[in-house]
Amino acid sequence: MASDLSFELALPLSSREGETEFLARAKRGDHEAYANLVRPHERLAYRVAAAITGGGADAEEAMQNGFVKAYRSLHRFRVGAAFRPWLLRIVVNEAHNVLRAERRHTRLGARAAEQHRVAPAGPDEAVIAREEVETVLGALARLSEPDRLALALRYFAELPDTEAAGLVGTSTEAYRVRLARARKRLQAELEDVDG
Amino acid sequence: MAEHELELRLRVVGRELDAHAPTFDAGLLRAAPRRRRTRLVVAMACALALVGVAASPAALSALRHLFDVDEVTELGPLAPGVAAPFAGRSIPVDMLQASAPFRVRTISALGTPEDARVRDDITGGMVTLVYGGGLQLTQWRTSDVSARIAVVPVQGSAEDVTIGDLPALWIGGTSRGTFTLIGADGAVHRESFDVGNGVLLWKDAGMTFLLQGAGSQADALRLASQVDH
Repeated sequence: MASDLSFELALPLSSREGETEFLARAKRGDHEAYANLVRPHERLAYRVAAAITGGGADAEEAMQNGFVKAYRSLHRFRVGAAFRPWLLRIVVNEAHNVLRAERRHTRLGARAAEQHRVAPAGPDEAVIAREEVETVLGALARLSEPDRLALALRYFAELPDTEAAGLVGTSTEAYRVRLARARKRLQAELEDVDG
Repeated sequence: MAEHELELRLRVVGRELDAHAPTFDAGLLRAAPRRRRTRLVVAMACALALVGVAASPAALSALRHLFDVDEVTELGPLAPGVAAPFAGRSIPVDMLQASAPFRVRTISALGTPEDARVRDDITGGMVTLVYGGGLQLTQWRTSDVSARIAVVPVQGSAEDVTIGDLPALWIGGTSRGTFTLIGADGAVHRESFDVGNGVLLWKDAGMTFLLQGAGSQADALRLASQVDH
């Protein structure tokens, strides 16, 4: 299962076809080119934003605002650098802003569940899947922001450790240590919920 | 629960989230045109204070480590509900220490401040010392005050600097900022503030400092290094 997902995600992300051209056109103010440039990163950006904010409207706001801010910062993007981590870093910052601006830290667990309850009811499988999302996002919400981010970058965005470490501004080794601790904390949270 | 099971659950949830992922709305770009390079905007978010902009990824990382820096390129117009700045209650300087909720740090090299103001309308409190020539040193206990600050350098730029071993953020030129604070009433309050002569922001020994009006970066750094410990 994990390898299938990795493949599925890696496919669009590894495709750099057109990225250079889209980037150049976007820097000249071409909105359509910019939309094409960020399209392969929408899902990952949303996943990471959801892990930080608890999902729902907050995650969407963080993603949309992050992409807009990235557009405005394109002149600072270094030609030849990797676009994905640069973009994700801005989305991560925006997700933190959304979270802090609303001061939802203490209510995040409740919000994570609430955000996903607004989804329409569906077949049993869909209900089960939604409950699982609520459970996991709720457990993530009870972790610290650095823990959530470490887990999100590894398991939601599936970034290589070196890229994730660069994104959070730490060494790869330090990132792995943080990740291991975060995993244990999340495990404990989920075991509490699961009983 | 085994570790591999946890990993699997996380990956599956990530996949489930894809169903909610929105498509980027390029129409938002039309609502907010790109800025000129010289008009950097810095949003500084801190659980307790601040801030930063960085000229390079390495510098940004360094600042983020200590200040939890966020960088944006557009702040936009001030939202409705942003109040004019409240300077605080004026307190006789010799009464300041007794009135302040923490030990106030001064710049003793500058002598006695012309005025001292205490904010007790915000959680944790805040003190501003007013020296001559528009120089002001504002300070608060980092762990007590939840503040979000956004500063727009209208002219000039922002860069990371050091005060001895302490990282700091310097914003030169004219800037407009917005404080978002948690009031003593528990509500969120937003205030604007204008700075005409440079801002230096740093943290030291559990305190956050904002020095306004020093003029040059060199003067700001010199004054910051003279703040009493």
